Amino acid sequence: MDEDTEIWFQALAGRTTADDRREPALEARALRERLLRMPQTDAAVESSADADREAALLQRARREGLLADRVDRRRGLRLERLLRWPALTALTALACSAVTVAILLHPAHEPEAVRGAPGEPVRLTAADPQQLKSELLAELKSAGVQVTGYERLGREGIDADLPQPPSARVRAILSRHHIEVPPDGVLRIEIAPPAAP
Amino acid sequence: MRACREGGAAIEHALRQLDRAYFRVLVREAMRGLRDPDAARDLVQEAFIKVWRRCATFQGDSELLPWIKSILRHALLDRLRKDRREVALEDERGMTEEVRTQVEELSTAQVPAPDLDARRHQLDECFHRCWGRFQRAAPAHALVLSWIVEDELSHEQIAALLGRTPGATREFISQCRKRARLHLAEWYELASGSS
Repeated sequence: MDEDTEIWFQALAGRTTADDRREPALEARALRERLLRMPQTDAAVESSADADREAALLQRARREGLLADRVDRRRGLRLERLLRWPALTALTALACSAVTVAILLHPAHEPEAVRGAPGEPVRLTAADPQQLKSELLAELKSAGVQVTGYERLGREGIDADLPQPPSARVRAILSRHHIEVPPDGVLRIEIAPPAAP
Repeated sequence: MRACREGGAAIEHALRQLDRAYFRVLVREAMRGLRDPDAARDLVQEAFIKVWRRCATFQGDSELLPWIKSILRHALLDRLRKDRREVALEDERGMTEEVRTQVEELSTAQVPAPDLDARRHQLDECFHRCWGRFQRAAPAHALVLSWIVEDELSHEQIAALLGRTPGATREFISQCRKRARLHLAEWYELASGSS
């Protein structure tokens, strides 16, 4: 970018410089003033009926699986009721034994990654989901990615906003975990233990 | 954002709130780039869905609107990129010989208005026509230019929005100026003649 364009750019953004009387600054200031006076948009567009708009938004959210958590929530409530059942202790002990036997019979294996439909999270399988989550969080954070881990209803998950385009380091991390680079830069991962045989 | 992170039945309510709080400001932004009410509404909806998907990455101590706005702007630029390919300009001023001749003919054809109001009206009308031409020919450039004005963006902020390197961003800004000069030439000339 040449000097004139830099002067033009700074003046367009409303920043004053020593070159304010030069032609590019005058040109930019005229444009800036005119654009700031421009009406924003047709009022009719903004005033579309709230109810219709919201219904359409919720419908789309449902279509894209965003409201699926309601189902999880209901399941969660059912689980809460179940946990109050007197046989809780016996059930827990039985489940723990089954998991222990399964782990002993099937040693830890490489995590698997399954890419869901577009917009769906990548589903990883790992013997220790929590540990894999911690590893991924640490690796992505060290590569400068904005990343958040969560645990929701017993499911480990990661949400990340990848820089666009993702750096070679980020790509290498994802590749190591068999995760495809999401085209929109939004990476959602869910990690679960392997299904019992 | 809390409802988003927690999931559950509060999501519907929170989505409604999001729509009520930000639809107007976002659709205004979308209209500026797309100039089609249906496409603008659709894009805002798409942005809300993205906001929801990315809510886990929202930093609670930052302001919500700029964050949501940046998601919309990314979506807007993506939409514009899909719709068209950029065309390189020919000369230093950003005008081909043919266009320059046309612009000069148009400019000299302007008849000076007899009074101030008429003159102002003529300038406004000319600007709208020129800006419309700019938006149709180079929508992404016109849009980014208006964001620079509105939000006083820095090089770094533009680079982040475009997803480009600092060098490529400087080139983009340079193209913005060239294209603005090309499409607004008639208005520049008229405005400078009336000042």
